[in-house]
Amino acid sequence: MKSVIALIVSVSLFLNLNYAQNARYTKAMEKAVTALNKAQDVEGFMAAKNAFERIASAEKEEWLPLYYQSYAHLQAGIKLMEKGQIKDCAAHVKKADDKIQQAIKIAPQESELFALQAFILQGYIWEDPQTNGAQYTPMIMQAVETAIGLNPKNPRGFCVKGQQLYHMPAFIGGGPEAAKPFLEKAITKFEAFEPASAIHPSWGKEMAEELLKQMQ
Amino acid sequence: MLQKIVIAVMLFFWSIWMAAQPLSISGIVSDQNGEPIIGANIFLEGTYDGTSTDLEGQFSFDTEERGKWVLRVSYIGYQEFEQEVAIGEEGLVLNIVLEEVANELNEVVITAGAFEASDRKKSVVLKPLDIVLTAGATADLAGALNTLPGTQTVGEEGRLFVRGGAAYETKTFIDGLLVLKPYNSSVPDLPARNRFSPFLFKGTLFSTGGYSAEYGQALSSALVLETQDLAPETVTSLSLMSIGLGLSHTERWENSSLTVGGDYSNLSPYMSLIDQNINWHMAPQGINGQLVYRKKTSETGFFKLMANTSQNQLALDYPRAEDLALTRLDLHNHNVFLNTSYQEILGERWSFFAGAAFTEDVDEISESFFLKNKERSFQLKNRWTYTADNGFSLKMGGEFWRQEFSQSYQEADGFLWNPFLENNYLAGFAEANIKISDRLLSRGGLRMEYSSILKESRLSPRWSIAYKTGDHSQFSFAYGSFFQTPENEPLAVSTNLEFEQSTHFILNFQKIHNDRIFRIEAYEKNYDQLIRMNGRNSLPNNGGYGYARGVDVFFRDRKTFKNVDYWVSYSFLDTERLFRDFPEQSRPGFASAHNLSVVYKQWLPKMNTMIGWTYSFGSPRPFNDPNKTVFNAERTPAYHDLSLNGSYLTNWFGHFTIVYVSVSNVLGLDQNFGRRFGTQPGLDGQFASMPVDPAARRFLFLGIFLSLGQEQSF
Repeated sequence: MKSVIALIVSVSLFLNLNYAQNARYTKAMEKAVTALNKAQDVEGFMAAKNAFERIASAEKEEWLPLYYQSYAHLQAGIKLMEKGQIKDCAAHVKKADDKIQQAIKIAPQESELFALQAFILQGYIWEDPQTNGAQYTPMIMQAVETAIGLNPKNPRGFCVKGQQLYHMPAFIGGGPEAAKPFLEKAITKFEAFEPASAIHPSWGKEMAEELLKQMQ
Repeated sequence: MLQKIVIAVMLFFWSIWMAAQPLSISGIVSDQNGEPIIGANIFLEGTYDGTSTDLEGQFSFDTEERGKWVLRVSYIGYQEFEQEVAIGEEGLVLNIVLEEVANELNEVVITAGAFEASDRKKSVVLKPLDIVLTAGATADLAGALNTLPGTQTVGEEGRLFVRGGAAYETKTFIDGLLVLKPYNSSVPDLPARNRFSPFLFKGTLFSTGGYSAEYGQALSSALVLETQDLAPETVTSLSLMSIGLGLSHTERWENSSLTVGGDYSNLSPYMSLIDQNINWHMAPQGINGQLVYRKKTSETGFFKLMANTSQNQLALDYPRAEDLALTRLDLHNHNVFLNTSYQEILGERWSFFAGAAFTEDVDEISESFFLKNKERSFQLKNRWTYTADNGFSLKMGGEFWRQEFSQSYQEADGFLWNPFLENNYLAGFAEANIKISDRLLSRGGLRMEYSSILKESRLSPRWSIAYKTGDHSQFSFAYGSFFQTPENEPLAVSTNLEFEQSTHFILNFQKIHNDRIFRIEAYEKNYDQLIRMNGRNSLPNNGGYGYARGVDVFFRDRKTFKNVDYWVSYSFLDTERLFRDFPEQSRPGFASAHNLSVVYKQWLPKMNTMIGWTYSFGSPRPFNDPNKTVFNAERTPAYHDLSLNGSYLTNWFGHFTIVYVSVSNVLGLDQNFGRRFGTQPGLDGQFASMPVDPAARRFLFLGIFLSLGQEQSF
């Protein structure tokens, strides 16, 4: 009897703690995702990244904290590139690449990770198009195809593919015309797409719309 | 009993409640100069507890954890900081200093004597693509390197001549292994081409002196080439050139790739269109087959294999050695080359390299005589590298090299000469890199070499040091002693020879900033034990010596003009030597005092076109007229060349296509490389002579390179 009571007490305590742990993860992630969505500048993205990095240090089995860490670095890199700080941008792209590779080790079947990886690999081309273009273009295409293959419903696979084609020179089969069908497909998929939860990836629609708008 | 449980449960909750009392961890994060770091992430590893530093670099966060934890601090561009902290009943106040990640661009590196081209490293002078796209180089490695300072333009040779050194003093290494025959076979006065396409390499280190103890058997220069890793994608490539065609297919799998290719070249259609100074019986032609296999054996392990086989031949009317009467000469070459290596990282500190190479090269020349040279070499090498955190690294290893050379020479009257040589060469090396401070780096090494044919061993010390004088500039100094086994020809007639020897002293200043590079380098090179013949019919001995000194200047600018990249190289060289059959110390025929190259490239993005030109200048070179009493008093005219090239990137039938055109000596200037003299005087007692001119005034190259990608989706 005694042992039964002890067992019940400890099991309920354990379940309770476990539940608390999950709730804590979701709450912390929601807070960090909100901060990320609000971020406007490098500092903002890095503050959000810091929050994800702390969550990742405690939740070693989750891919999302690493995913967002990577995404925040990429966004910071884009801001720096817009300011012409190519070398600082490159440091963030490299960090984003490291983090996404860690995430892929945790969840090798997750389509979102490959869609983001393809986006990050484009960062190497911004750095030095002449040298890196030929090397990274096939890698980007491979990551995009993996993302689409793992989940054909994921709009971000098509979105990044469209973006890549848009910026690729026509002589290797790129250009706005080549990009258009993929961007349009991405838009249709975005409309049907429902993120698995509030903390799952949801970016990309505006990016695709913006590119389509530039074509007109 | 129930009471006991209640107490236990209460105790349990109490302990949780106790632990739940938050304690504060606070402090400041700054860099080495005491400047606060804003936005650094500071947290307890494995918890959610942490924060970012504020505008003063300060931080403060609460934690409910107790006991030992790892505190981690991260900030981009700085090394991650880790410290074990014990959280007791009071808060912690910490003062944290982050160290900057050694940035490749700011890092102190040894640059004396070294020109590097790489995709991965940032502080390099050239990118591999620059080599391919240099006008006048027609995608030839040696041609492109000839636009760098420290090289001499020797138009009739096509090989690399570095700082007053003869061509054989420059050695080529592929993936750490020596290449016995880097150039295609040619006859004297017809420029030779490098056997290996520049597209095969991802990294090139061209050292004009003072290089690492890992490399030996080169008195003047080491050209260290690193081949590509996994091919990026499955693709079929087709090349159509004015001088031949090529086809290759690459298959890419997850962790491996295989390329199989072949090409056929034949200059006869081209030569029938363009005026030649030479009467060709058979224009140069050849077939070449290649296989490249790459496998990633683990996360960090890599296996490489490259196999190459080629057959080349040509026939022309060539001036006979004795009296320069034009006589038909046939040359046939057969070459097999195999290079394989394996690399792996062992644990945190060690890495390991093992490589093996095999070469067989057969030259057959028939004129009024028949000459067959057969060379075979087999090489094994291994290298261990230890890397510590504090900037110390140690590299050591050994190599074994077996070389066989056999010659058969037969004259029409039946005279026969069949020397056979074999040499087992053994070497061991160790070299340490010590980073004395962020500004000061020292590299010291020793190389021990033994040659069985010379029956002697030598120890060569190498030492270099680099000191950073500012964020973008540095000085470096290199010293080294170098040994080389004499060439086959003297070894075939004399068994009593020793290593030839040189000593280098190099002082270099380099500044790299904002896509502009400026380098200036002064050097002194002393030769000793050079092979020499005291008279025409005497045996070769090691009685030769000499010196070379000079200044090299290099400036490259990719910043000032948009889409324009240009570089200027100037070399001043003062050299004299007593070697070969020189009766006295004199300037050798391959050494010009002044060399200048200007390379200009412009990218026209709207037209997807790159155009470029290269201007090369070489001051007059000496040659000897045996009809004169003063030795080596004649001078060639100065050499001028202006070459153009253009590449156009396009899409043909859905396939990525490059159209490439290059023309040498666009202005059609007279280029003369001196005079050639007969080895025997005629009836009048005079030696016959004739001018040495290029085979044609201009060389025109047109190539179309198609990539037939498998994925049509992009």
